[in-house]
Amino acid sequence: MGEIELRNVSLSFPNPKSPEPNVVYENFSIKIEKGSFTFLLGPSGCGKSTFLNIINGLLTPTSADAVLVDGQDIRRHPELTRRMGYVFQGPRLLPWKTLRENVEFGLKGLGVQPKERWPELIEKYFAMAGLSKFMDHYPSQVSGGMQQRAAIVRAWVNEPEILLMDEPFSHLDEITAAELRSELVSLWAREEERRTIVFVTHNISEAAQMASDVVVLTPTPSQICYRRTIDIPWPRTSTDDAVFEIEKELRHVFAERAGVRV
Amino acid sequence: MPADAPTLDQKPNADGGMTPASEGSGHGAREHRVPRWLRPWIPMGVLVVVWWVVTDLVLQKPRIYPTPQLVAGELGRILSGESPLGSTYAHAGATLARLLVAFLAAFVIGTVLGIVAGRVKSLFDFSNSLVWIGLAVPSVVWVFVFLVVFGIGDVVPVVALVVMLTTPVFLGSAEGAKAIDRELLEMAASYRADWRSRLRDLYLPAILPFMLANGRVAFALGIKVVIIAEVVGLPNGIGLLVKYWKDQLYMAPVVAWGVLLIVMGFVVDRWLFGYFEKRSLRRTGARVSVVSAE
Repeated sequence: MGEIELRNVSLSFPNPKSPEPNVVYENFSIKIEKGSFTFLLGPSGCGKSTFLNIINGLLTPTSADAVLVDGQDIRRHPELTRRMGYVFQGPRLLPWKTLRENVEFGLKGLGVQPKERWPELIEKYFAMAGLSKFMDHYPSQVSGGMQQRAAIVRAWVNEPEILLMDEPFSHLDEITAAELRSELVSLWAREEERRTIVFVTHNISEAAQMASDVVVLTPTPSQICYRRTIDIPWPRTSTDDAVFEIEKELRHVFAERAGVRV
Repeated sequence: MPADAPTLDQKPNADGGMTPASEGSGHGAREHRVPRWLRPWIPMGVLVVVWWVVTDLVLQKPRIYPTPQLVAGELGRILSGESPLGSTYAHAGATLARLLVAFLAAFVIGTVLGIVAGRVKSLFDFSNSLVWIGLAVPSVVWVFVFLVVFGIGDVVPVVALVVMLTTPVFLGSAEGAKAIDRELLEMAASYRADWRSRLRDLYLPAILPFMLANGRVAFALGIKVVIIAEVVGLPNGIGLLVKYWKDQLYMAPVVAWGVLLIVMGFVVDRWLFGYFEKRSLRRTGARVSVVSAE
């Protein structure tokens, strides 16, 4: 599992300030390969997060020919969304639960079975995130970076085939963010059967450093204005010439096709 | 500031060896002179002295305006269980049982309905008029209405109490549920938490501070309402004793019962709700440090 496809998806919201609805997508189609680390780039408000919410079943499009995960429409098979993990912009941890209990909340919700495996999964992914010592701390007792790590553990511990990430590092300081970026890439790259990650950002360097695929969206109604594969091996650093070239190219694309100068 | 100007932290410390916590304001040092635990008792002491002066030295009609000494004597009699209408403990037990049953029912009903109304806006709008009935209609009116409907018996005060106490609990819970962080709700939805998990892991902990406030308000209101219901028409309870003594025009036991109810309310508020408050705060690290900094 892991291939995502949207066919002719349209979505609009009523606009309180005008009789014209706010159109986010009009006949939008996209295909995301299984096992790819796909970055969705675009100016603010172009419907990047909306895209994740549609795949996750949190939002139903106004109309769509298909919203497919591995060839099955999630509107008819909502159980498919249980095999996804979602990392939000902020950690969104329950403040009255310890980090471990927050992760258990995710396991319980997604119905990960058998329950006897939970402790092992929890230990494993907390260790990977370097949080083993802090499992029984409350979110308020650890730093913002550690909270976001715990949120990543909550998504990853379900061993989802698809991981949705909505600007997960944008609220963190640059050093913590850089650390988490390289950890995330190595976590993803080291697995034999790689998961599909859809990563939404407006940070171009982040995309150039991490992505296997980059998709650039226009302002609403969103369309794909550029798409490419990046086959530079990981780990990449921002000082890599090849990475820097990609970054430059993406900046050009942004300026010329998405209409945003960055 | 010129170098020779006196600064606040150069002031001699009134308490001698006080921590520098009061640095930067002379006000801070003064606050420490009266120990914190003593502060609520000072107005109480002043009140008793005024009461004694007025009743014992000025009015001098102890049957109608009882002196503190007389009330203390009556308190002793109440505690010994003696009353012309049978054991005071039996009466107090009946009152407390009514209060407790009604309080628990109102708390559960109000909390559940409040959470639902807080999450479903249309329901909240519908409930508005009912809330006003619950808030505005005086307790005696409820008691009379229910006396007519149910006849004299335990049902009347309990139902009247449930109706009156549910309203503030409902309002508080609804406000709490409305204030729940949208981002957390979205997170719960994306992790497919079922309604049981959402209630236990998200809604209830999120509105816990509101529930504690609801409990306090409802319990204090409950004490008042149950006594009124008993005065108006019940064969037993503290209200009946209060009414008996009022009819005898002997006010000392009436005041004594008032004092006892104040003490009971205080104990429940301070220790029972205070205990739950501390426990709930302890669960989130940051707030503990705020509490312990006091």
